[in-house]
Amino acid sequence: MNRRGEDDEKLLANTTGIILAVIILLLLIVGLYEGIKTATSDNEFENAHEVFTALDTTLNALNDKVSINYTLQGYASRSDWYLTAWNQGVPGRPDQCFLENCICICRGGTDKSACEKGECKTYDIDAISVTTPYWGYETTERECDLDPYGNCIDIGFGKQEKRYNHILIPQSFDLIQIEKDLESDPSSLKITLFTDKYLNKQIEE
Amino acid sequence: MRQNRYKPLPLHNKMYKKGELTSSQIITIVLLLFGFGILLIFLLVILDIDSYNADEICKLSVIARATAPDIAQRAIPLKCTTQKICITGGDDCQEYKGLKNVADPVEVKGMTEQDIRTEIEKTIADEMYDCWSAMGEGKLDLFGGSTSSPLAGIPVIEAFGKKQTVCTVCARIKVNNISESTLQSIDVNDYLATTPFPDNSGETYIQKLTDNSVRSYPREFRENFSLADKGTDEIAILFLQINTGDNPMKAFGETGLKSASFIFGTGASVFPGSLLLSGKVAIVGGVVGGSAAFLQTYRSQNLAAAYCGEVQSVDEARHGCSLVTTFDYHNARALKEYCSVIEGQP
Repeated sequence: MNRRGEDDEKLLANTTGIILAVIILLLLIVGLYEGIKTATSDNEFENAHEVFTALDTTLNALNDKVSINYTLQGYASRSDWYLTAWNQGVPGRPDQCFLENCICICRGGTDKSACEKGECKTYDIDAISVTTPYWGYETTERECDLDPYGNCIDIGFGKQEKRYNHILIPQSFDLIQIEKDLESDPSSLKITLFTDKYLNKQIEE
Repeated sequence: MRQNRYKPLPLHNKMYKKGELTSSQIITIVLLLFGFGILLIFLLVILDIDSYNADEICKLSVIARATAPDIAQRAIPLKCTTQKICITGGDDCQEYKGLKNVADPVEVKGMTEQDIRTEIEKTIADEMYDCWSAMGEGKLDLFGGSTSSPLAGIPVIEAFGKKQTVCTVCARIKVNNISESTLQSIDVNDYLATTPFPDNSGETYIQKLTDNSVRSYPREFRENFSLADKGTDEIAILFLQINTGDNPMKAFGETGLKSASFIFGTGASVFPGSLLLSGKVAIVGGVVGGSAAFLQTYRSQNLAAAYCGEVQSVDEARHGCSLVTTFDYHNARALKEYCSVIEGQP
């Protein structure tokens, strides 16, 4: 009888201990989970979404004919984020674009899979371009001037204006130009980033 | 044996009767459960950041980051979302539609010119103070962290390591449908110097921003007020911080510190270097390079509250300079020049 009483006492003490341990463990797990969730929450996607929403709001508020300079406010991020446009008929389009022309904000690249890690918005317009002009060397063809006899005088590889079909979301600010002139060019919605390097080079040229 | 079964049990044996809890055990368990309940509620409230407003979340993240060890500092996101404030005499600001952290528009329709002016000046002054206050008045190391930590590859650490300026855009303020004459009469500098801060302390905004170390602008600074600048309809309230390494004076001498030079360049011309370098809070004048006044167009260059000295870091003593100021939000090139990297959410 006494022995059974002692066993009961031990059992009771153990049960209380186990309950307390479970409560403490649960609290620790909840705390740890919330801490990790807060620390690793995908701010980058939220930030990209906000940048994209701000641009979209501006695009939708534009008149039919306008050319404006727009301050693109970026953010510090580990991944590179890009703005890019997909027009109808271009192969490998993100599914979010359906059959429309669209602008996407893409994570880590500008291909379909990268854009599907971001988000896309469609626009009821004939064509959209998102570009970053730069000065680069043409490496595929050598340039030449023609002599009076029509012969080519090789002047080497020319340095000329080239374009990336995307805009890299900056880690601080950038100036982009939005051009929309539906009156004279119904297919026109151009978003262009002019980097300082490009603008300086343009002045030099 | 049989008799023993009916023998009265001693009191202590009664207490160990099968299934029965002692009163002390019951009290202990009740107290523990009660305590854990309180702790659980406290934790749930603390961790339920969704119920906090943007300012509170920002302050919490600033404190969390500033008090974290170097190795973990970068893992704590700075959850400061740019607040968008529209001051309008008509329609709402279209540019802010659908964005996060948009404040209720400040309606000034029907107000007198003087009242509109005061409303705009107050909004800007309040936002400058709120930004300065939320960011720890420049005394907290927010953008540091160990360059040897596993997180060192991210841009903000690299920028900070290179002594570039890291910024947070605390707020954007846009004016809409307000007359040019009203905008031209706005003078935030004067408002900061003469208007009592709304906490019944009797101190002006300047005194609040400077820990009471500055009461009025020096004459040289007042003379600079008359410098004209290009106007804009939208400004950004920016918090900037730069890690100057050991001594801000040394950084002042380094010509390579382009992005930081404005802090010292104008500050030194307004105040004796000793004041600026003693680590006290100072008010400095307009930004070098003629960038960005803002609504106070044609009136003055913009004002900034700055702090240079030791910034609080858990692992090591660091020196840096912090500054809160206004910028023309449409002047992207100037913004880019002064902010190498932006922390926080757009």
